[in-house]
Amino acid sequence: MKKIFLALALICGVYTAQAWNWVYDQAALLLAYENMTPAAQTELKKYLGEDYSKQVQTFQKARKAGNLLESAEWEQISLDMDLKPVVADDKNAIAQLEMAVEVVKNRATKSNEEVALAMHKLIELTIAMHNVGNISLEEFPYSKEDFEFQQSAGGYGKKEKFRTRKWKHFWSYGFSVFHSVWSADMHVRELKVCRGRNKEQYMAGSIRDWATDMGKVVKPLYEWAGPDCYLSRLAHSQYEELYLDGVARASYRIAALFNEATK
Amino acid sequence: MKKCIFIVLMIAMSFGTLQKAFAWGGNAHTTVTVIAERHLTPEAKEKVEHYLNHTLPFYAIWMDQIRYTDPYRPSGKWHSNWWDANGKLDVTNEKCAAYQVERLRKEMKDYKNLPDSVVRLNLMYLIHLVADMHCPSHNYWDKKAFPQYRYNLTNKKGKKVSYHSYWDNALNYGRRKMNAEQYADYIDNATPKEYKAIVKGNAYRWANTSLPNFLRTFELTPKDSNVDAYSKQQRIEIRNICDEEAKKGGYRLAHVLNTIFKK
Repeated sequence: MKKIFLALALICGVYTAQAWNWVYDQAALLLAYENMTPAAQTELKKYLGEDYSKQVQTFQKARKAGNLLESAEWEQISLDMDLKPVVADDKNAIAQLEMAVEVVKNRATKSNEEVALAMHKLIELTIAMHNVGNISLEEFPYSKEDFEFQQSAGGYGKKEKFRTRKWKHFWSYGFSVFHSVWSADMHVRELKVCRGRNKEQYMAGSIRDWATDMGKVVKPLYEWAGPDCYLSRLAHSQYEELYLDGVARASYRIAALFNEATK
Repeated sequence: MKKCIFIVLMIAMSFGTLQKAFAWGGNAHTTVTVIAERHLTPEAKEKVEHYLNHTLPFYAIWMDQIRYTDPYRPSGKWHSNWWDANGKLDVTNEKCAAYQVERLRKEMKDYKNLPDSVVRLNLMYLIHLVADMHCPSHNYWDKKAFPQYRYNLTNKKGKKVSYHSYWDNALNYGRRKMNAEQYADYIDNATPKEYKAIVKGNAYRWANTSLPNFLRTFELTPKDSNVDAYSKQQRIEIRNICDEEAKKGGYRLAHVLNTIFKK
């Protein structure tokens, strides 16, 4: 009996604060690498190794093994009524990222482990802060919660079927089902085609600007989304644009942070 | 205790299972688009990306995602070829996939004078329909000519598996370890002469040239046969049919797009 609940706790624990499907994270990092300066690329490989692109979701893996449990809090961002980031302590992505940039900047005085950890934060927390499920808006208190909603599972009229889903899980995994056989390279090409032209706009600004930026993207969503809301198949399909937007922004901004920290 | 295990399993499953019931599987549709992209002329590639603002694979299964939703609901009936009582392709039937492909090709001849939104939508339809018309189970047969084509197979547990669903997913069963790019690498092997022969003619001819493969499916997977007990030779032939049709779908989609966007 205990084992069953332990298994359930593990599943829940893993799913409540994930970033994106692994292959999306890998694609985000591969595209980021393409947009890094040669100096940033060298430093990334120096500390994370040649197989850097496979080192995504390390915090999730650590949590699964019972380590770095506090890292779940690092993935969140909160925005006030004016969509300004709330950074009261270091339990959020913004504070963690700002500290990580400083560590990488001062890497000559830090241990290799400290720099590697900071680089993981730059990658994984930038990704996390662009995931709708990790963004909470003061104006919409339920945006903090992993609420349940109804999603259409096909059929029409009386024959339409619904399934209950969790909001945060949906924003981590709800779109990978459309592209389950895609390679990371295919995602990279897709990101370049659909959002590449916005690259410079995405890379400009500070971490706090980016948080506000995501607040503006997410706000219209919460105008209708909340506990027990209904998501049609068409809306599911259309919201992939918003999802891709987050992945693309995260990807180019990882490059911006590495470029800034290693110049 | 049993109830508890059941609840735990149901919750776990709700986290892990997503809607994977896409016609001809996401694998086949995505692979068709990957192959097509590889055979696009630079002009066609540029135009397609301009109108879609995405890569071809992005829309591989879009028609399945939206088939139950307004305003696209009527297009839900276009996914299969229709064959009349004489075993001939019903080229006057608006529901017939080949008919729709030819209708769209005709409309797109004048794409420069169509609104961008219409060009985009037509492309999204073509991407899916050219692939779907190659799916071995996407055929409606006149009941006089083929009285029993909607039959069931079984699996080793004695559960019913519909003929349609088996062939929709046959490619997924056979190529489950490959991503779409790897699978495309494997089957995209026609010589220029073979390629030319495959793309010759129009959608009606294409459906007719695939007819022997479609009919062979009834012999390979007869009514009530156990899908888990098929011989190695049977499984190879099933896989070969899927490979051949996916390859032809990819080449023909490229040909359709290259012809539309010819300089």
